[in-house]
Amino acid sequence: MKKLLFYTSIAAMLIAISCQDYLDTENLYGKSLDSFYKTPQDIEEAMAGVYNAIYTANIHSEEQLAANLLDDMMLGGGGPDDKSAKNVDNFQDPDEDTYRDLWVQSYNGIARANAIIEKTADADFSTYFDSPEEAKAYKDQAIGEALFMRAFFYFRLAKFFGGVPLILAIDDPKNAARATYDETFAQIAADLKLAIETMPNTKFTDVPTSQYGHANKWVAQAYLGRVFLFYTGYKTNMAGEGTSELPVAGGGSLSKTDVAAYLQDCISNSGHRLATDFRNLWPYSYVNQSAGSIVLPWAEAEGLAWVGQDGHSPTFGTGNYESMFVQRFSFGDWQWSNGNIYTNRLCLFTAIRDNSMVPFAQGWGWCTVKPDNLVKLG
Amino acid sequence: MDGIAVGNIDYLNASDIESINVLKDAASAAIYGSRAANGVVLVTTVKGRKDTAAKISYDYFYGFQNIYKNLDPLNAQEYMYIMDEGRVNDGLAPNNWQAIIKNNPWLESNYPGAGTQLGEEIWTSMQNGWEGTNWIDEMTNEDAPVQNHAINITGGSEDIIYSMGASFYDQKGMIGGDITDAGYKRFTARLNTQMVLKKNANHAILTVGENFTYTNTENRAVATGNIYWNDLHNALVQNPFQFAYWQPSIDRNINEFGFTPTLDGLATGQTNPLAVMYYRHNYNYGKGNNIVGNVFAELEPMKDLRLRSSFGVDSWFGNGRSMNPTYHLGVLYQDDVDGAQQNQYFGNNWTWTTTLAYDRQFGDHKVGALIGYELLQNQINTEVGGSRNGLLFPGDPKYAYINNTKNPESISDINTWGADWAAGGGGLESFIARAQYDYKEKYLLSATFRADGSSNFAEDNRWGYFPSVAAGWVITNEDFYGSNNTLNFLKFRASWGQNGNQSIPNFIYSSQIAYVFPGYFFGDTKPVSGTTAYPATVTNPDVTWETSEQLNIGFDARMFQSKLGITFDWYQKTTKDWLVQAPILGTSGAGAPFVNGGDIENTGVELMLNWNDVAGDFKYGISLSGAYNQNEVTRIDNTDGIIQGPSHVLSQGTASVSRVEVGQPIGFFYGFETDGILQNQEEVNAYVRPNGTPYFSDQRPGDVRFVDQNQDGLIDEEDKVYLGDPNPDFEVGAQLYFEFKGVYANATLAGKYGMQVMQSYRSFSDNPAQNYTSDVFNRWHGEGTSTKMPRLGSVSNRNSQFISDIYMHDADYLRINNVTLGYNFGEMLAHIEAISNLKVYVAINNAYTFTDYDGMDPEVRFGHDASWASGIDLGLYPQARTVMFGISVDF
Repeated sequence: MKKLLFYTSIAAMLIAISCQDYLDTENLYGKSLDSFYKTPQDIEEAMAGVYNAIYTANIHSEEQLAANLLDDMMLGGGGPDDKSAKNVDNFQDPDEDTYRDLWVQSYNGIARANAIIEKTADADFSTYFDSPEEAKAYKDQAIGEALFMRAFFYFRLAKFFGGVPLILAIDDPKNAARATYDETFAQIAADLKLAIETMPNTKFTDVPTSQYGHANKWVAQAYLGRVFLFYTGYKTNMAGEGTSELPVAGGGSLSKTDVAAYLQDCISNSGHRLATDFRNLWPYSYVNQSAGSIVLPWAEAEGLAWVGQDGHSPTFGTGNYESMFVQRFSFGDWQWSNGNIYTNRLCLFTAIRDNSMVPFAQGWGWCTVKPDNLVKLG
Repeated sequence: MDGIAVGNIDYLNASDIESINVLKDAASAAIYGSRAANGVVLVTTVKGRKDTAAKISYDYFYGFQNIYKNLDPLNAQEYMYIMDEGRVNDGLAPNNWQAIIKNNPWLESNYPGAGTQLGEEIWTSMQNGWEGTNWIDEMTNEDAPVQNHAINITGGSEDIIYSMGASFYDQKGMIGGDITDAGYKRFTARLNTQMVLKKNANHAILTVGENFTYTNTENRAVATGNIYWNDLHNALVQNPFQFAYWQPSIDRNINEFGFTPTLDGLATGQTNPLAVMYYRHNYNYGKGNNIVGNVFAELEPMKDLRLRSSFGVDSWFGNGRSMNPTYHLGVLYQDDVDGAQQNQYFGNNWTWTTTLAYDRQFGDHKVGALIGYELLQNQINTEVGGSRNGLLFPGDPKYAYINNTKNPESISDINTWGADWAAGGGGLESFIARAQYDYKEKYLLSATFRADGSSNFAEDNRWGYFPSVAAGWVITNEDFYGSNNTLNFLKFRASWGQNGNQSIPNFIYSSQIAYVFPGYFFGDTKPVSGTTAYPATVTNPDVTWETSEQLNIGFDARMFQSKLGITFDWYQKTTKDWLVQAPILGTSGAGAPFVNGGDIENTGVELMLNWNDVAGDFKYGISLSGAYNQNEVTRIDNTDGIIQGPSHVLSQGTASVSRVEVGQPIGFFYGFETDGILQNQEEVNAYVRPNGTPYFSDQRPGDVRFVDQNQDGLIDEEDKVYLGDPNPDFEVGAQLYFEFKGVYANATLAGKYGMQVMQSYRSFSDNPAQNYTSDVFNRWHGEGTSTKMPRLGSVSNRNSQFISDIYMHDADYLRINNVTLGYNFGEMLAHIEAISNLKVYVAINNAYTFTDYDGMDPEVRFGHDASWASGIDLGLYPQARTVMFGISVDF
């Protein structure tokens, strides 16, 4: 029996020696939630991820197109294959989940924004900047921009679906119940207000070209104006509960005067102003000098010059001081090498069907203008 | 396999296997591994025997494989008739087939004159009675050979036993075997030895040994899977007009192999399926290797106390290369860029197992105890590869290596990748303890306890604890029982136990950051996407072990001088905290995580009877088994209690067919119940909502009568119900064996009952020109012609787009899996010293299947993207019937 004990204890020792932790693993597959959001480069990439959720695969989830098809101004249009456009125009919805991508992508954007808001707060960027002030300004811009984008996506959802489930942190339960219309707008208002208060006062004219496309404090102020109008307009005209106050989650509300003050700040201090000639906002006013000849003769005749897509000193255009926040697209081609969802499909789907005439390219002829509207306008 | 946990045993040749033992109850599986939740299959390779002379055996067989049952697509004339009927039903004029066939704009504009020529040749052939191409016949290879050589050597002296073997297996594919050289080749080599190094008079003191198997495989596959990755499906739905091959294709340099280009006047998407199969598979050359084995030492310092330690490896390595060819066969099937790709991979896991066991008899009491420790570490799992465009030897796969490509013109001509998936470490760690007690072989008790840790879970959830107990009572060993010639042995058994499952990817509890392209376009450089990243999945830090808990009660009996054996089992197996990648909510904001998604319960009984007897020179044995199983999902961890299966399965644009729901069997079929076909206008008029208005404004004779379950006047999601179950209720098996003076015959049968299959071969909505099989002749085409299959349409309509029971078929079957007839020369060879045994046989695998199911095979396990779904028949790789001739000789 002694022997037995002896050998047992040897075996026990062998086992005990092995008791260091062999189950610890290190994630070397790539970046993970634990190793991301640590550097300004990470934040750039993550922010692009938030904006990426603006795109939707299903065309009926593309906000501008869906809104135009659904409203009374435009018809379905298109060809015989485009039954779905006509269905949407007629508020017929034979397919399951016609607008699912709009919902899903908005929540993807919200989740990605939540991650930036939460993770950036703890990040230390001081080694990447010359001064603590610059590091703080960077961090404030990142958190504020993520707050703005969260509001942007909730506003997009609220416009289509009314009150929606509010998910405001990475680990929030995803099966949250639907919030009320008021709660949803109160959250949008709170996020925009905090975004305005958080983001630095960088003038539009100081934004470097490489940052074009990013939202900033001024965009948040302008959006707060839109949200205020949409909410009070809906409550007054649709719900029959007239109000001129926009509730703010966490308490309080914003009055017309409060919102106007934000807008006044934007007007006075952002550096934005209206384009000098309205027509210069459209690319058909573009005089293509680099082409060596004047491609669009009326542009020269009328003395027009395209201001460019956005930004004060774009590569193409004279400087667009009017556009504040522009969704960015890539070039499209028929091979869809970039994926067609990254192209401006509003142009593609609504351009003239089977006809290409400078400066308008050929498209699929959706969203034809309703004839009696034309008559009224005429 | 010899104590090493491996995922499958495809790398073994049948001749290497000594025994296969299936451990079904939890208590006996418990000792064998931390991954035993779905049971354990113990595979033991052939070992030598002590004090036996060397035995050399050689086995060989050669066989022919043919598709057991083929489907019958429509020929050209039938196709035109059926397509026209669909148009006429929708109030359209019949097709002008001549115009369609002769209108090939892509071909005509790229190869002037060819489009018209092709159309005219087809039309003329059809005028002369040509019935079109049967693509399945074109694709299949008749009498595809399969052969196997295996040599085994075993033997042993007093202290050393050895066993070694080598084999070569070569199987040609039935589909594409003569077009893309599809097939499977495998070479295996194996060595097992064991030697006693130290011993005393009573027992061995130190024993060492090893078991190793090396396998080299070459697998050239064809696509089988969903409707977009399935060569046989492509052949089933391809229009019959197109020639398979067309000489002008070669003459006019359209295609060097003569594949006929697309008839794009008919449908641009209907690419020649032979070309798709060829270009997709022919230029992939891959070779894989496995080394699986262990070395062990066993120390027995005092009698009955054994300390055993083994170190095992499971490694895989190989390489692949492929050529990306150029082709131009239609507007939707062209590739201008060629290139070459190469990759190499290497991986290894090691397992170190140490056990200390003590077994001793104290009078009538026999006790045994074991403690053990097992550690599995992921050591390396690396793959590197790259590709580059622009072949220096275009079109010749012999030269398809990356070095034989041009200098890249742009960065997009190059792609490389490399990772070591095991660099971060991790693995499995287990502590095991077992105690056994046996009183006079009458009362048997055992208890096992395991603690298993897996690095696949977050730190706080890594450990799972799995107890099990088993008890047996051998009533025939009781003193009061005495001896009885009728009942020779009777043992009652009961066991209860738990086992775990941890097979999910590592770090799934957190989330990786996914880099996407294109992402977003900040800045002023419009076409170039900035680097864009976001969390790939929803985090689930709580994910932990899935536990399967099983209760077994049964008995084993032998009667009539042990000629009759009876085994009976009742079991209840509950899978708790099922690990599943559940579909996500629209609000999740990222991809689906693995969750402990629910509980599943299987309850059933199994009965096995066998009878073995000898009557003079006649020996025979019969073994029958029957199993009844009931599967029910008892909990789903979400608010709906439902996991919905993937959509677009049966055809583009259709809803999901499979679902998991509390109270139903796993993966049951879900959709609209139908109540026959509207036969005439009277029935159409009678198919109305409770308020008297018709269900559909356009309903007409020949349409499906969908059942409005809730009588709310709408046919919608609310009306979808349970349609059927892909899981069998009842399984039977039979083995018969007869031997008379050296002639022997055996047969194996298996059957399954009470299951259904969802079948669809066509994608109605996006490819209306797809062909039908001849069962379309059972369609409704006038009053009384069909009560299941609706009228045809020119395009898809709700009859085909709504998932309903019109797609569902009963799939009960009984199959004769194998029939073998052989002759054992045995004693005739007694005077030949060199040969100790010689057998020759002829065997038929999959000899006959009794079934009413009209598809290729009623055994359909395909479930599309969902791991839990099954029973979806889209025209899958068919079953072979193989006729084999074999010889087996021992020296």
